[in-house]
Amino acid sequence: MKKIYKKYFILFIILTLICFNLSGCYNINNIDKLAYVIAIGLDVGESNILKLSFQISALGNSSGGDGPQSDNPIVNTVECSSIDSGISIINSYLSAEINLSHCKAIVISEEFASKPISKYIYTLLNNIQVRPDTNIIITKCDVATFFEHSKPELESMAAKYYETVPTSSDYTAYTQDIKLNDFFSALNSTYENPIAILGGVNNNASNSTNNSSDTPNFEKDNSSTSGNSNIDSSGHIETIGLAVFKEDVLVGELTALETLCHLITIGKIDRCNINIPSPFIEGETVTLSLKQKHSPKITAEFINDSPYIRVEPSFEARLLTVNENETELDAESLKQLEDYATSYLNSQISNYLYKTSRTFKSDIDGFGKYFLKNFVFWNDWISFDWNSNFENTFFKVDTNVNVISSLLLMQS
Amino acid sequence: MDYYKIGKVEAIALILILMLNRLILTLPKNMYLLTGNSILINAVWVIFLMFLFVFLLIKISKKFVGQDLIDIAEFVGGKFLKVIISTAYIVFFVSISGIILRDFVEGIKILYYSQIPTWLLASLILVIPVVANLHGGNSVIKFNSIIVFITLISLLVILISSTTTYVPQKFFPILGNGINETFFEGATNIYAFSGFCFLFFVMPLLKSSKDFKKIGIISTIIGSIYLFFTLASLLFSFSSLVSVYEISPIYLIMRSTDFGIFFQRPDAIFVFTWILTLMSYLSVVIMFTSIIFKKITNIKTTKYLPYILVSLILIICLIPSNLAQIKTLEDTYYRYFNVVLVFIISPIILVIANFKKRKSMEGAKIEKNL
Repeated sequence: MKKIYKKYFILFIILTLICFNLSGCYNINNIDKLAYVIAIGLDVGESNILKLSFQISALGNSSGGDGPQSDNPIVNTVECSSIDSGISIINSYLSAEINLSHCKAIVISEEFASKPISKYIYTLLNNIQVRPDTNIIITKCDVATFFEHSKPELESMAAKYYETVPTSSDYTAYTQDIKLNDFFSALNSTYENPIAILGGVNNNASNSTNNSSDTPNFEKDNSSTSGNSNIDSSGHIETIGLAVFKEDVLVGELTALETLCHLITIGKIDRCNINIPSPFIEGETVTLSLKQKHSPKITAEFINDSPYIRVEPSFEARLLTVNENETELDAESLKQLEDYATSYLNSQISNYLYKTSRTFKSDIDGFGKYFLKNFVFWNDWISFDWNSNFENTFFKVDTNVNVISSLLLMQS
Repeated sequence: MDYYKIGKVEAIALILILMLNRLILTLPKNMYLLTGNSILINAVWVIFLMFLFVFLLIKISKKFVGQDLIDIAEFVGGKFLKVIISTAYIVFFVSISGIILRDFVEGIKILYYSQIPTWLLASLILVIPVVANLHGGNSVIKFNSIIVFITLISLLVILISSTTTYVPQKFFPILGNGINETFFEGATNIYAFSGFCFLFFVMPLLKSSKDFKKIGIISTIIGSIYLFFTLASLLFSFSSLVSVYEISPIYLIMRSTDFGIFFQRPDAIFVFTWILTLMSYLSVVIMFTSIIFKKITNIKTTKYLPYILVSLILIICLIPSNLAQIKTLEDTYYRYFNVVLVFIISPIILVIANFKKRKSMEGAKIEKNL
């Protein structure tokens, strides 16, 4: 008899648990009650410290396989004193609660980033909904304009667009896929400074400052940055170049070529194309496809109490530019091409390194870590203050380019 | 509560369970905060000390086959010492479990259940240890063996996947926060192996007491490997963020590691396995506490003991009013109580017992010769 009661009791418990689990979660947050933010924007406010913008996914018809989202996300903006107070104000306005768990990008205006932003970064990472893999973008225009123009051409979902755009760095090396966690790590590091993706709205190519007649053609391609590129498609956002920070303050930006040099230095080039002056015809340009063999060898030491860094990147290259009138790619012309490419890359990487050191005074390549071995105790390293000493650093770049051939055709 | 005789694998799992719980929670962070970048040197030092400790334990235990620390304490100091040591271990197990439970509950509250009260979450977790113990020691031991295996695999996945973010230069400055912090004060980091206190109690449960040596050595090797690589991941990947983050460093590593596009947010799977690990650990602690309690009180049945022990753990769990108090308790009370009880007092009792046994054997030999 006792056993029967026990069985009934267990059955009762199981049924109760099932009832609770299968019944409608009337008091729990669900998709209808949440407003999924695709991107957060931080800009300088007019009436308050912060102008906080949310690009929110507009839930719509889920047919068509693109998910429940329309082409035009909603943008809401609020002037507030902090991120959390802004969220509260927007929550009181919207019919759903703001949820940041699908946020793909944090967009910060250049003007806002020119003042210390660490407290905002800390606040965002303190929020459990914000993922560490959210991209961080510094926009050259104001955030409202950036959001207004963030209409992808090849994607139907803005969220997916934000997710895929930074990955172009894998094959262009004109930007880097910088995530919130990378930024935060560098911000807290004693041996490197943070960088962010540089974004902007495409101005018509005819307005580009690169189009001066004095600038060589290959330089026009290399000096592109977001909002200043040669793309003739006005009204869309673009991400070319990187924003450089000294601790938590924006101090400058890198062009497409400088970004490439940065990626070479940190060994994160997968494949890319580079334009160099032709060694065969004056005034012409040749394009090389570069593949970094391995991370560059970096030697760091103190010479006369000044930091000295030697960077030795190594590439395999193939010639992309071919011309029916030119010489055959024999050993001698390949050697000539290699020398040209080596000399060009040495000069560009060296210029880039001195720009970060002397102009920005910001070690965005994390060279400081190579000096850690010179210190025995952590306190000695902290007293040394790498961030202040980086501007005294001397660089030597020794590139090795091995041009294998062109692709299908033999002529160059 | 009934206990069946356990094999090598089950015994190793029993010994590793507490250490795994500590690795998942804040142990690596506390160790790092003491030593700084010399954490790996400190880990090697602590592992060396641990091997010395285990070899000493194995050597001494040869003369006390089938006896646990409580029996040996009785042999050394009579009933008085037996009660003192038993009480110390019961207090140790119950209080540490309460602190670990609270630490874990606060963690999952931040991550998933911010609306649910702490007492409710803690109570729900404590239901499983009670049920497991009511079903007897066998179910606790078998459940624990499976859970330890799952946890070891999940930790291994995290540690291997984090290698892509390694910055080996962070090994320097080689002596981190200082020589004292690395070697002398740093020796207290041996508390990472606090779970090995179960070695003192596992002997009577073994199928064959000859396996004790193998169990001790294998569990030390596994524990050392996991400790070393967890600390290596922490140092080489996230050392600059350790002091900034409130949350478990292993969770931080997992959250920041890229598992590819298909597995975008796998943290929930890992946290689920960790909840099971905590439940298993609590079950094991209640089982051992019941064994110890039974030895000093001579009660007929330990059937209702799990309810009492769980209530005590819940009360202790709810005492700290904030996370700062939990961290302080972990880094002071847990560290030093652990080191003193497990790595100083208990081995001293074993050494004295060894001398006493030798003396009595010599006495018996002389008597025999006479």
